[in-house]
Amino acid sequence: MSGDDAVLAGHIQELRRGTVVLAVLATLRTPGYGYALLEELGAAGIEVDANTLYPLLRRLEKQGLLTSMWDTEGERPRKYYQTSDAGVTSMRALAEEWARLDTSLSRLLAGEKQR
Amino acid sequence: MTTMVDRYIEVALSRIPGGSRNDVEREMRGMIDELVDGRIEQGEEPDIAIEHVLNELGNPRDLAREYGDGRRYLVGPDQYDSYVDLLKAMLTRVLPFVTVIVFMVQLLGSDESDIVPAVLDAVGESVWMTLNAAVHIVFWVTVVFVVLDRTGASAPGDQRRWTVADLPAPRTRRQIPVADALTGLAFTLLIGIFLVIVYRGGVDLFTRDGEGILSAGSVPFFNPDIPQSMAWLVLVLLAADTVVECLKLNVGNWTRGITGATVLLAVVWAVVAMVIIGRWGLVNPGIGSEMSDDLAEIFLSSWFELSVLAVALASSAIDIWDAVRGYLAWRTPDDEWSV
Repeated sequence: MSGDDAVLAGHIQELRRGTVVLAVLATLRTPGYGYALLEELGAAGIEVDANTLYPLLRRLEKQGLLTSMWDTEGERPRKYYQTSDAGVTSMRALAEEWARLDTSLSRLLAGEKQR
Repeated sequence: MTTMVDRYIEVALSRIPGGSRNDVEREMRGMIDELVDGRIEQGEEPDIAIEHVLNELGNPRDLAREYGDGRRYLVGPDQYDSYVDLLKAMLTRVLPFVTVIVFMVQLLGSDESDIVPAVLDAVGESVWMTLNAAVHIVFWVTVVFVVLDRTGASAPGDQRRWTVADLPAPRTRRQIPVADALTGLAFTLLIGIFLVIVYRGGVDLFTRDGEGILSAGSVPFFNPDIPQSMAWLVLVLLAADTVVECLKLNVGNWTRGITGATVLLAVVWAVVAMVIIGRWGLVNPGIGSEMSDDLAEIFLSSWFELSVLAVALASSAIDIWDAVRGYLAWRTPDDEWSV
């Protein structure tokens, strides 16, 4: 049965993958650093591992959807991220897509015929 | 902070391209520090917290893959199919030529006076060169595709959208099976080797006293009256046969050219066999001095000559029959639309 479990886990992971980007872009409209974001997302019920989130932040920064700034004032240097203008635009588009998918899937799951 | 964290980061960084290493190191350290601090705040011992954090982050190589945008493959999925296709085509189409040509060149240019060492040399050299050629083909094709992949160029034909026009032509009845072409090639080579052995080795293979069984013969097996030009003609015919068999392997179809060449060669072989056997006789009449009378009698009998002629004519007839039947097959209705 563990084979079936692994397959299901894989599908669940794929379903979540794209949504993490949307969650990050939305959350970082106010600046934040990695660990705080991890906590915030966890509290919001978005499950994401550190070894996924930190590299993701770096990728989104490279894609220009996030901007970053090292804060060297505190006890130890911390990298702060914020959603860029391009990131906000992308976030809106992704959110729209999410809403559309949600509507469609809800209809399908309810067994209603699509018109 | 501690050596365990340093070791972890070192392993991860070894997988990160040099240019972004400092940057990634700073980020990784920041990440680990934040995570450890988070656990310490919840009351864990620092050492335990570090161990937990690193265990949670998992294999540093996997983490490096998430961070680095370096590729973990030589030829990516976009190029893979073209890569395998080209590799297959090059290996199956080029290697037979290499084997045959190296073998022929080695055998004809051999310094060995004895035929068996000469053949063994040629076999060894052609096998070795074929292996070399295979390694070179695989290496260079791979290099080309790695470069294509890294530079982002797409393989020819991949830029267009796929349409039904890209479907390969259906297999038709006039297709020449690879096994048939290979058999033909092997057969031609065996005949060639046999003729060269007998021609160069004389009759020593059949000597009476058992001495110098494999040394160069003093009495030729073939009739010395047969002019040298005929021997050359036979050699040219063997070479032409080899080329046609290789073409069959490459083209795989009874095209007009291959059919024509096959028929022409078969006719010329038949004529050459008839002329040699009818005009001069195949076997040296003086062969009797080198072998037992019984054996000489068999070789010098007219039925031996006639059997050789019969075999030659029959194989020519079979070749012509095969070629014409293969060529005509595409005219039949069920293959018509494919032409």
